[in-house]
Amino acid sequence: MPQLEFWHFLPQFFWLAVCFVFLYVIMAFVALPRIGRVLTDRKHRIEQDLDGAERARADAERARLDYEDSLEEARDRARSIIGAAIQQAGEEGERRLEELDREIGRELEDAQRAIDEARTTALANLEGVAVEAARLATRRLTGAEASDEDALKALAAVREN
Amino acid sequence: MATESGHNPLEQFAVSSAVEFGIGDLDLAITNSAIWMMAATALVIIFTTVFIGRRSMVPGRMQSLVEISYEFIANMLEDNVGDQGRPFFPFVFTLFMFILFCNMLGMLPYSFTVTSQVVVTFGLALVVFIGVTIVGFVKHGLGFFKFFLPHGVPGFLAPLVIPIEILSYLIRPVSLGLRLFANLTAGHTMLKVFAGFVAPLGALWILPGAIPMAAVIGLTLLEFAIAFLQAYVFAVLSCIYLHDAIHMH
Repeated sequence: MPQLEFWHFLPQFFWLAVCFVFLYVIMAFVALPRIGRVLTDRKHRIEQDLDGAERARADAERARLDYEDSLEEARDRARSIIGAAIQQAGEEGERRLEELDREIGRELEDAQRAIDEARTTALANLEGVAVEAARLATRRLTGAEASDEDALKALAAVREN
Repeated sequence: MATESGHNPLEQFAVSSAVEFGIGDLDLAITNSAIWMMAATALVIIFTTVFIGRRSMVPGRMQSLVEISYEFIANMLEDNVGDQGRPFFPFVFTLFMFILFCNMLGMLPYSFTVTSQVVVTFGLALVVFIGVTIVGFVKHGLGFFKFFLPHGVPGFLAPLVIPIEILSYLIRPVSLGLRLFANLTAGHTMLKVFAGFVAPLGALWILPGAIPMAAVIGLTLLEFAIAFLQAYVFAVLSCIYLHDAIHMH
């Protein structure tokens, strides 16, 4: 076995030691700290980003709650405005109704008055017709001529009974 | 063994000196093995520094690969050792990446598998063993010796249990180093053996050649899995030993 030839033991071991120590020094003081830094930097960055995301989420949640609050507030306000409007409209309607009632009453009175007037006029005309009829009836029945005054008197006497 | 060069399945493990070098009487030649170690070292450094270069917030393909390796080892250490394992993270990471890249480089055709060298795997295992033992004594002082007598063992069993525990502790670097070495050596030898069948059998007829070829393809896939798995096993076992040293069972 060529590995067991004694002459190369020392030189191989010597160069192994040189290589290994050199490699160890480079790894321990240059390469590994750099790799470690890259990894920790990235870890920090990721943590930071996660924190940022968490904060943004919290902000969004808060904004949503604010929005819901203001929405609720607006809804309340709208409800009260509508209530007030309905009430106002009701009062207005009642007021209008009363006014209308009054107007109708007034017109009714006017109409009543007109009717009364018409009736008195009609009654007055009726008297003339009755006097004429009475005078005609008297002439036909008795042949005598009755004056207007007599006819009126007779008419009043009849009306009194 | 075959005398013909290029057909010996063990020849791929031969170490040869590429650049002569030494201090005093010590021969410290840069061998082909050392060159591939350096290549693995360089690739790990490029992988972990260049690919993370732009350090983007959103990682690209290569950057995520680096980050995944980092988190993979960090989690492994966390799961096996806990928070107290944190200071050892660079060591375990270096260990895992070095072995993984050596294994993977060994999968390249014409390359050399550093982790198939006993010296290398035992060297790494010894570093883990000695390091973990030092950690144990630093953490617990002489109390670390209590590690060899687990809680709840009746006193009369102590003469039996203590030698067994000590032996099992001392055998750790051997099993750790041997496992990596044996896996890589066996795998690559097998690949070579089956690959060696393809041409001679294929010369007879197409079908006999296709069978070892299919085996080579399957083994190659398996070897990639083993290359990763053995690096992982080495690192996990190191973590477990570290856990023992810190928490005492």
